[in-house]
Amino acid sequence: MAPYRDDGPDRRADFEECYAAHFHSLTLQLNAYLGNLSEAQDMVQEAFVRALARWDTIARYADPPAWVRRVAWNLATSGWRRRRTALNFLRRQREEHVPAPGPDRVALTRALAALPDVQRRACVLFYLAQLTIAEIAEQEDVAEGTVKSWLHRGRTALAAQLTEARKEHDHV
Amino acid sequence: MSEYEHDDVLWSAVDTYRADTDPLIRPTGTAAAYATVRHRKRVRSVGVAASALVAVLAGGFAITTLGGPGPTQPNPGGSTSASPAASPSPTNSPVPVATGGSLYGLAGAVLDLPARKVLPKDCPAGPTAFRDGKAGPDVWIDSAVETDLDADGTPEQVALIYCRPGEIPLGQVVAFRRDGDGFTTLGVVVQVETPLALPPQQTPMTVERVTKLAGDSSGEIQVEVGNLETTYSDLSGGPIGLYQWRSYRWNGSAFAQSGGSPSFTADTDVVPLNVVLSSPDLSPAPGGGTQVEVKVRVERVAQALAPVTVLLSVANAPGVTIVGEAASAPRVAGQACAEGTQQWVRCQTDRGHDHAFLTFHLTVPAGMTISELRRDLGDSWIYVRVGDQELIRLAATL
Repeated sequence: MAPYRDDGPDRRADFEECYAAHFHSLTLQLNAYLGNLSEAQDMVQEAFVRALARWDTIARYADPPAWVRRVAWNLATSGWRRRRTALNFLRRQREEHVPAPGPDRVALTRALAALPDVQRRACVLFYLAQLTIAEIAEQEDVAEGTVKSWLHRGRTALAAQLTEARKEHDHV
Repeated sequence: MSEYEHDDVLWSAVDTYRADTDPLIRPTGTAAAYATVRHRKRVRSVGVAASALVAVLAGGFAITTLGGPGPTQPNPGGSTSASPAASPSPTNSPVPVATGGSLYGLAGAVLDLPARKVLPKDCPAGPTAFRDGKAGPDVWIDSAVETDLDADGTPEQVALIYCRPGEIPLGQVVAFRRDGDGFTTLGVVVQVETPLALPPQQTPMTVERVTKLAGDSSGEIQVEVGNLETTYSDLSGGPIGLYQWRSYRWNGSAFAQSGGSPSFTADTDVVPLNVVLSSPDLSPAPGGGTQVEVKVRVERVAQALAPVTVLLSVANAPGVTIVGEAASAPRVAGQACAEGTQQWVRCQTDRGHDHAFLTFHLTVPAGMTISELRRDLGDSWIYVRVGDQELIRLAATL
């Protein structure tokens, strides 16, 4: 991705490039965490809207997508989805419906849903956002050892559940 | 199963998830994002104009500065960043404190007020309609700030709300979040925890006053809180109680103190001061009456990390006055303590020497006997404070 420029006329292109490059990735992360694709899309869109409202400032940051990711995750973990702030306006603009999930697609989200919140976040950030342990520790404001512990427990539980689900699927 | 086998299973599931889910994602699009931003700006402009009108009509709009807080920057320099809540930016700046007008929309809203810790039956709880910042004659919003408490890019509103069921207004600082046209309640930042306490009720740890509200652009809330055990003799309304500015942050589920003194009392294991109080010495006063001299020595005062003050407080006895003097050595004239009223005087010690010496003189009018003096003065107290905390309290029985 091209570096972000400071000059005004290119900002719109920068925003659109950032949106195109990261909307899917962020939605995949939040859907894995929440288990609800529609809500995940709403939150990622909301994060981009908030970024756009301040884009003159955010475009100057070294890593604007990280700002959007942080805000999207804050929305996902702060209970924003239970509130109706601005969602009505967003929903009026998008009337198409997301298809119901199939069995293969929900295997990971179902296994993730059984994990405690912190382990689920750590696993999503590691396996889907592909952040390093240090980066996850920074985002979650905990020690790296804590993240390692979350990941160790999370991946053990996930692997057991996924293996079991695969066996059940094979027997059907 | 080994870690490697775990990872194989997981990466395989992640790949499947990604391949299956990605085609289902329908980005709302940047055009919709632009439309939303335009819509919100229009709504906000209408709100600001309405606030300005209310301010002009009410004539009481007092905002310290104009403009709202800038966006929080979760990641100014790296690929990820520490939580703004945990690592405030060095460029944090105070946010405006509104003391009138629309109070960021709260003044005319229905607010879901948390139940009070003190006198819960006498103060409203639950949905409460405010009009012009008031909910009846005894409940009002004193001040409010707006800052992004949860680092989600949108500011929340925090208000200092008073309820006055009796003589003293009980403060409660509550955070709210805009929800459509209204507000939802995020939680209590801090509130009065005990009713007015008089010695010797022994409530030195509790918040008995909430007096001022402030905030900064990092989402931190600052509140001035007080403990008033020492005010029993302060009939003048002087600042004799202990007041501290404490900072609070939203941790995702509640507010937790993030700065300022954790307690109204100093940890005597940490502060290595000794306080020695001499027996009061009674003698005839130069202009008639009686003079009572009380001497206080604060040892190792130079090791204190904050200013050390000594306060003498007496009950209300007609005609009795107090003066204080602070010195760095015994029998050497020191500095008169200017701070005080008729019933109390407070002296700041000199930390440039090992020990500090303080002398208090109570002048009792002629015609009052010592027994009358003792009866009227009752218990007098010497309070030693380090910074904004109380270190020790000594009874000065005359």
